[in-house]
Amino acid sequence: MLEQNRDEFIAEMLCIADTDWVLGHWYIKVMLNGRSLTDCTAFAGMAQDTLGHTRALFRFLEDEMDLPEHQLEFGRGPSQIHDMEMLSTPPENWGDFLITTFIAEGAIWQMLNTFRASVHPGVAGMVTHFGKELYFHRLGLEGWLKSATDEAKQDMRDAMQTRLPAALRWFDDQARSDSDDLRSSGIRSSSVAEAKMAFIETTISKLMAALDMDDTSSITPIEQVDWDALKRKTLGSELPATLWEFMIPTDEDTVVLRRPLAVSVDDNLDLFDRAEYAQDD
Amino acid sequence: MIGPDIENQNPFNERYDGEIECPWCESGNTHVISPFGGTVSEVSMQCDDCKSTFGWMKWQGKLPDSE
Repeated sequence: MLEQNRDEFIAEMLCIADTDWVLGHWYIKVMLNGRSLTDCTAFAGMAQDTLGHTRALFRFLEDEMDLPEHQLEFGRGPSQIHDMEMLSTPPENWGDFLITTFIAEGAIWQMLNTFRASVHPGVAGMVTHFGKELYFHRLGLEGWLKSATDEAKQDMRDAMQTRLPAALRWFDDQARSDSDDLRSSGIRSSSVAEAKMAFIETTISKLMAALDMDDTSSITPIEQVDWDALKRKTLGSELPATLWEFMIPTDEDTVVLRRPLAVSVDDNLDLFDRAEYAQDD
Repeated sequence: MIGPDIENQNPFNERYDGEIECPWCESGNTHVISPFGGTVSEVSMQCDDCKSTFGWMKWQGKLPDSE
């Protein structure tokens, strides 16, 4: 069933898994900045959930798509990651962090939700399980939204100007959604266009209410760019070097301390974009 | 430093304070003390009657779109 849409399925799962991979590191980075142990454990829990979803998706792809072990984590370079570009720019302040993570969580869930009644029971069960955890992420983030100072709320309104267009771009356009083979095959149970609408009606509406915003007319959509549809990001873009180093450290001290893997990860992953990666070497 | 302004767990308290039965004294007079416990799948609760703390498993079937 999945093999018939192999490239599209791998690409779409990586768009979610890799976005979670980056988002988990956002939580890790901020984990110790909590004002209390309750805050710290909340960040730690959300990081563990989020990276756990990445791990589960990588493992699922390895098993179902017959990909070599550990390659998705260690066998790719920063130009091969399917992350949401919105998360490539680090947060400037607490308000920016909160708005960006809230938007990312909402967008990831709506994208996951397109698989919730998939004809593949393994996919459907997995994303439903993820959703049960994401519900509690939403509660935690809403708590911080409620307690934000006026200054932080103004930072959030400012951050919306850049973060929201990037998130909306992630869902791509109506034409892409209409010609989606995953949807027509039933692997997706609802369309990405429907997910985008639900994202606007739920996540964005909640944010606007919390920030006393009447409309988003001042927010400028991103102009057309060369688009890599498989990665849902700008063609040729890659993760910033500092972010990539934080995710997969390459400094000698860290590598020496890393637990050895049972298999080689020396660049033998043959994904659909292997040729592009070879050109970067 | 990027971090929360003040401690606040209102959504958890609003939903679960007084809703979860204490496993030690069976009182319903309980409240949330932390949204995550020893594992990410549990909420830390405290009983206002016997003062015991306990972990409550989160799996209630709610999804992010749920109220």
